[in-house]
Amino acid sequence: MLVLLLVILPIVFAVLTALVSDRNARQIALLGAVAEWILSIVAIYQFNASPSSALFTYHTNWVSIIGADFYIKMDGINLLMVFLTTTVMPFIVYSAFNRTIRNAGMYFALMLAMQSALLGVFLAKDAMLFYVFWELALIPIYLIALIWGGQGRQRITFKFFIYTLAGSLFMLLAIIFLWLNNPARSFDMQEFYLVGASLPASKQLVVFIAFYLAFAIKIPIFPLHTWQPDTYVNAPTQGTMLLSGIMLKMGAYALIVWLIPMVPLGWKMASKYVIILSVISVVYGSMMALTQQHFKRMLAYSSMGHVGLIAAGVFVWNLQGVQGALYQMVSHGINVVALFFVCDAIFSRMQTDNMRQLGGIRNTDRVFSILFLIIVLGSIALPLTNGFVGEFLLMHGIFQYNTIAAVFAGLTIILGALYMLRAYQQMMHGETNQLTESFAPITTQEKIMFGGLVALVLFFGIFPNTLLHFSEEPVKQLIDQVHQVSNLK
Amino acid sequence: MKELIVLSALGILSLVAEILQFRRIILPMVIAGLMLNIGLCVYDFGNNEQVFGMLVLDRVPLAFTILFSFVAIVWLLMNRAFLTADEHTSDYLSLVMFSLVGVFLLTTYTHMTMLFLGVEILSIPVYVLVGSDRYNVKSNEAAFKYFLMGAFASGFLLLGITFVYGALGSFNVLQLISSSISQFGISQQLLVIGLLLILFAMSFKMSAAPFHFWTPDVYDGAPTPITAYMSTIVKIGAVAGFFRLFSLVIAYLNYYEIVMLIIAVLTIVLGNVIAATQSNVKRLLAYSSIGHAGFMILGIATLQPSHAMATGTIIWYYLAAYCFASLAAFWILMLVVKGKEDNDIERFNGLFKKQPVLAVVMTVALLSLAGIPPLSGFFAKYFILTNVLFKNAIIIAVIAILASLVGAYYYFRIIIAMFTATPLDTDEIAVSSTDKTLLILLAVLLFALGVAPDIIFQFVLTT
Repeated sequence: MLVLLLVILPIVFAVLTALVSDRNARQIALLGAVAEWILSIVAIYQFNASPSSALFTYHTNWVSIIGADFYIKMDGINLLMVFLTTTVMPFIVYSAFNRTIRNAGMYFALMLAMQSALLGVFLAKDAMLFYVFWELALIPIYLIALIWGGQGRQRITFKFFIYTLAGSLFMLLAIIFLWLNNPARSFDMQEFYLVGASLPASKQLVVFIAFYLAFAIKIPIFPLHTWQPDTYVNAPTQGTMLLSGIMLKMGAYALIVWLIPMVPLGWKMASKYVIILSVISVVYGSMMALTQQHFKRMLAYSSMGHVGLIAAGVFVWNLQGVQGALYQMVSHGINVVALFFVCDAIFSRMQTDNMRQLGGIRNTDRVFSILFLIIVLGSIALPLTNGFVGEFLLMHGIFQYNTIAAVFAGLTIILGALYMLRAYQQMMHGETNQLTESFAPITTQEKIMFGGLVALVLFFGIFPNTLLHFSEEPVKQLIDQVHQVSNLK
Repeated sequence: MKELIVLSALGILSLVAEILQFRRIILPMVIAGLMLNIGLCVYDFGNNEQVFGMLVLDRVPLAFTILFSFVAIVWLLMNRAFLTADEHTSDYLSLVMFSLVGVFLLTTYTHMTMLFLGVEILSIPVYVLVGSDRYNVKSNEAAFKYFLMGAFASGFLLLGITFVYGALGSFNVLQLISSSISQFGISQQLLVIGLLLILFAMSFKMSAAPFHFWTPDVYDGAPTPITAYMSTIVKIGAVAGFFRLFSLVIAYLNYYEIVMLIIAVLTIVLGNVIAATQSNVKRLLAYSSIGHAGFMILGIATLQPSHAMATGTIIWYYLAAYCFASLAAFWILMLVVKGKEDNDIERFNGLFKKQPVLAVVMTVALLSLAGIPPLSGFFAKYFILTNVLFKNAIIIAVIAILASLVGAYYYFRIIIAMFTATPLDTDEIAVSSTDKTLLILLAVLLFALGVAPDIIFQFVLTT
């Protein structure tokens, strides 16, 4: 029941937020996000004590005519995703506090509604339910980007929508296909594992490709990424945070718990190619990030590089790779939210994020520059920051699979350091110019934001096991299960 | 029987309201009567009442009756200003009520005279209603066109019924169930051709391709309230009548499956593709209604003998999802273009700034029509596709999915206009709180049906 409450609470607050006046909307929304966070921490604490408790499962009939159940369950793997979602959400809501927003009530309501959908995606153990939540998450973010986005948003958001909708339709066809092959006519995840694994290899490959399209578009992986940079740059800051911080993790998470265990032979046949695509994604994203003048666009490409590495780590399918991917999803979520908030803080003062025009901000605001530096270090994976743990595990995992792939994937760390430090240097160091002289010191609200995020960056860099021990056993089981099937045949 | 009496009584009551001078309270009376009708249907559920061997009130027809009564109530509330604007209140209302009698006959008949009577009782009042904007050339043209084409289709229908009678020696459709085609000997051609002619006539009424040419002109020419009526209640009648016939003659479905599949696919593709080229929202909705009719025919064409009732529920669900969304869309269209010359998409520009509630409800309605989860339009399409895939018709399923992607395109044109474009003018859009409440109710229904479709299925299948 607790797990049902986790999914429902944000939507309740979304309705409340939409009903109150625009002036009070943000307080209600923040209250909702914090309440949800507390609830999730209580849940994780309880889970630590008794993981198999009935609190973490909710199972009831839903659409009985097709055998779909409303089945959500918290386990060691999606616990990390739940933690990520509920933890960054208060920051995302709070980041909009001192900004003027038209129709604020609806803005925050959509954000909270999206949180419900995201939690649903992570917790669902029924393929139909998973699909519905997956699509449900798309609507709020589409509207957020459409209504509050920048110039040219009609075209950009439409492209984003059509891309993801087309991907999901392929997934839907694959789900129906598996369902038709399931004599029990249910969408249960465990049954889908059995049904998928029993298909002949060629059919598994087809199913793999259909799912891969949906997930690769969402992540995004080269060459299905073309919607991403424009959408990130164009969407309002909170929309970008939701997209890059949480939503793209949907795809990577779905690779781990839905795609690979469901069609092990399909994975075995395709893994070489999808790993190459992921590595291309890493190199391409990082190279593109190097060439950008605008900070927000640079972050968009850097994000693509990081998630490419995550996807590669998943596809090599060993303990380090998958654990690293899960941990890096959490770290990247925290870091990228922090970075986009840095971008927002700068843009709201300077009206530009062109790094060439900025410089010397350190001289006007030292606190800001120190906090920013820690976030940058987290994002370039310095030891003792959260980024290090994830990337180290990922690299370790990929190395076991193939040295050359690991060498290319490792470029993300080198190039990442290059473009992040260059960006930091261009904006913060150097002489203060006419523009940056007027840089107002960061406000208390911003200090709280940065302080909280920096604390998370350091905490999860120093104590990675707080989260990693939850997912270790389930990940081991999943990996063994897949290897058993793929080695037998 | 009680339902039929209630509906007819409401029609007669509306007629005499003028003479007996209770015109002012006739609208609430009619609405109360329709609510009573819903109550009676719920009461009768599972009784399988037979009416003179001509009508059988089993579950699916009663569910359809509940649906069209409810839609009629919403439609009456939505058009209360239109209906009471001039001295024609009782004329309009009686025409509407009589056509509802036709819908009722179409949903429940087992006797083919009832089929014919149903079609005619449904159609004739609608011919008049389409032309009710007497001084408007387009409205006159639409009525005339609809009447001519409709009369033509009725001819086909009669001819078909005669042929079937020739083979069967009876008007009762139920007799077809117990007999196999070979026992008709020489007259089996008569039966096949007869049912084919009925199929064509009903396709016309449902505006299925290639019998759809009247639809855009008539929908465009008729006053918008009447267009809303035609695209919801008339459609319920036509689809229910079609489903009734072909769920009773399942044994012969093999002969028509290919014809029906061709009609269905043509309808889905043509409806959606042409809709994408329209800039007039009324015509756009007309073409989209053609596309949706195609989906419903697809559901009927892939009927499983063992799942006849489940298919009925699926069609019911589709109709409900489609009607609620359509009503909301037409309602908002009426509010938005009130007092304006045209129905262009540009009229929706910036609606979110002017009237956020309307924009949000319209978005929900359009997303549901486009089949985006978790709105009811998604499961409506999904159930139909499951039926199709059970028949292993994968190509048809893919075509249907691609056509609905095209559908998403033109629905989104309206959504984008509402949320981003700058308004054409600064005119206020007046919306009463009743309108708002009912529109929000429709949106909530679309959402609730989508989140918990089981409620409906449990009710119809197990009560």
